[in-house]
Amino acid sequence: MDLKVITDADTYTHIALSGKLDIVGVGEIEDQFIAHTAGRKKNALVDISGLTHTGSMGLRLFLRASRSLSEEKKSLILLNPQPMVNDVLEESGIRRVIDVEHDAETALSKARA
Amino acid sequence: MDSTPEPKRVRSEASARGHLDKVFETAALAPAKRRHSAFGRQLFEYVLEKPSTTQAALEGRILIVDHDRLSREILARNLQREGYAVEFEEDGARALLRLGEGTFDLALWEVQLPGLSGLDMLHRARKDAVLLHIPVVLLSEVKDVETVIRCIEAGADDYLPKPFNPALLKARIRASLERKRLRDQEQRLLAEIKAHQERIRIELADATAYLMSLLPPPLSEPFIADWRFIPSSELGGDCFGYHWIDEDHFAIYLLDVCGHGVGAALLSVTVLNVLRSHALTGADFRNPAEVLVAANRAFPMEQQNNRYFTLWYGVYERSTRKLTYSSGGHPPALLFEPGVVAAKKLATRGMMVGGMPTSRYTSQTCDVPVGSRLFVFCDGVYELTLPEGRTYTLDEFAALLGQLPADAPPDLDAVVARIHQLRGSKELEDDLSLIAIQF
Repeated sequence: MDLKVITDADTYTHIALSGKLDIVGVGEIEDQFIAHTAGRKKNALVDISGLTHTGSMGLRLFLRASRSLSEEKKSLILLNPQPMVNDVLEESGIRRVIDVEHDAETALSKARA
Repeated sequence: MDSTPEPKRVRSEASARGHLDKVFETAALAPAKRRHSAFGRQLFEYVLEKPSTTQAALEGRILIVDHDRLSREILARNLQREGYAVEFEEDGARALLRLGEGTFDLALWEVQLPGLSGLDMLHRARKDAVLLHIPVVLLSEVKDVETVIRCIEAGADDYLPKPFNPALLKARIRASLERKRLRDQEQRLLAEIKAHQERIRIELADATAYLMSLLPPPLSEPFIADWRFIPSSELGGDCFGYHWIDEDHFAIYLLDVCGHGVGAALLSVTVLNVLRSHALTGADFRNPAEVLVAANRAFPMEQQNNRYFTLWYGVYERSTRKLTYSSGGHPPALLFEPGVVAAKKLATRGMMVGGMPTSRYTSQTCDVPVGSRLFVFCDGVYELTLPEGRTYTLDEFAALLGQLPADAPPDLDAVVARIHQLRGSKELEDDLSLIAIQF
């Protein structure tokens, strides 16, 4: 698993995840991910186009960050999931509480808001 | 075999002689003096006072294997002066036996020992689990360099040229013993890790056995109900069950706690027991949506070590042949009606249970014609990484179930065998849980 910070702006954070977000992958990036999202208490845009898989622990990671940010009236936005990852997000019902975008401009404007 | 008793500690010759004279004058040691007198005065050239066994053992215990008496004695003096416990053998076969007892830390072995050369010894020792880890330092004449090279290649730790240089002897012995100490330490740690892993394995197996004991027996009337459960090598978070709520309502449920291991299994078993015993406040267990709402309220993830679970819960009403179901973050159940190849996907797209306090759940209902088959399962049955690297899909799994012969109860063993075949291994990444009901 790889976590890359693209922008640490004053108003939002833009990061990208790539690899397999299974129980091992989550263990590799969990602290970093939480620090860059929930820890910054700013809107967080997470490009997940490089994710080839997300398991239940990956969903838990997104949910934790999203819940923490929502307490600060901030949002977690997931950008460009691959079809199989999108199916998992859909099936889990997580899309009801986490915004999933397929257009980078739209996602960025939401993050900057 | 050298008939000389083993020396224990060396002093300078003058000191040793003076000391020994005094020692053997004592009444207590007179019998010993008489017993050993046959070995001659030469014995007392290097025999000493009662050695400090503890101190010597701390430094290391060394077996010198050499047929040259003078060479042995010189070595012994030097080594004992450094605090090592030293013993002798001049016969290679006996030396191997003694080393096999596992009480020596190092062997000094004459390369050209008659009967069992240094090379022969190394070949035998390296096939023995105990001898394998005892460092062997070869003793050789300088002219034996070629032999020494072969011995080093065969696994000897080092060599000492004769005549010995005391400083070189000291340095090489110390280095070899240090390597052995590190190796012994590594072996001890490895053994501790293996013992720890075994304890964990036993505990996980025990937890799995408990979980298995909670699962329902197969049914043959009024319909067929059966299941397969194969935990991943590491205990996962799956649980399931079915039971009659009353004479007309039959509950079917399968849940999957996020993550693996004992933590996930504990929550899984807790939820299972709650469902089995109808212990959710405010829920009518004949109403699936109510059950999910109540479970979501009872098990918020922030109170469950940040764990949520997915749940499929259905209730079959026998009198009306209707199935009402609700799901939270769980894969759809598949209903195959007789004569129809494509399965109906039964899911209500609720959110995973415990994920959000505000999650809403709904129920849906479908007819269950006679001969219909219902499959309820976890994502572990189809989220398989195939040997070619791609992931198996739910639709492919549905097609596999659709191909099962319709004229017999669902052959779940065949399904499991196919999953193992697809995976290319019996090792699964996740638990495999599968319930089949033929109405």
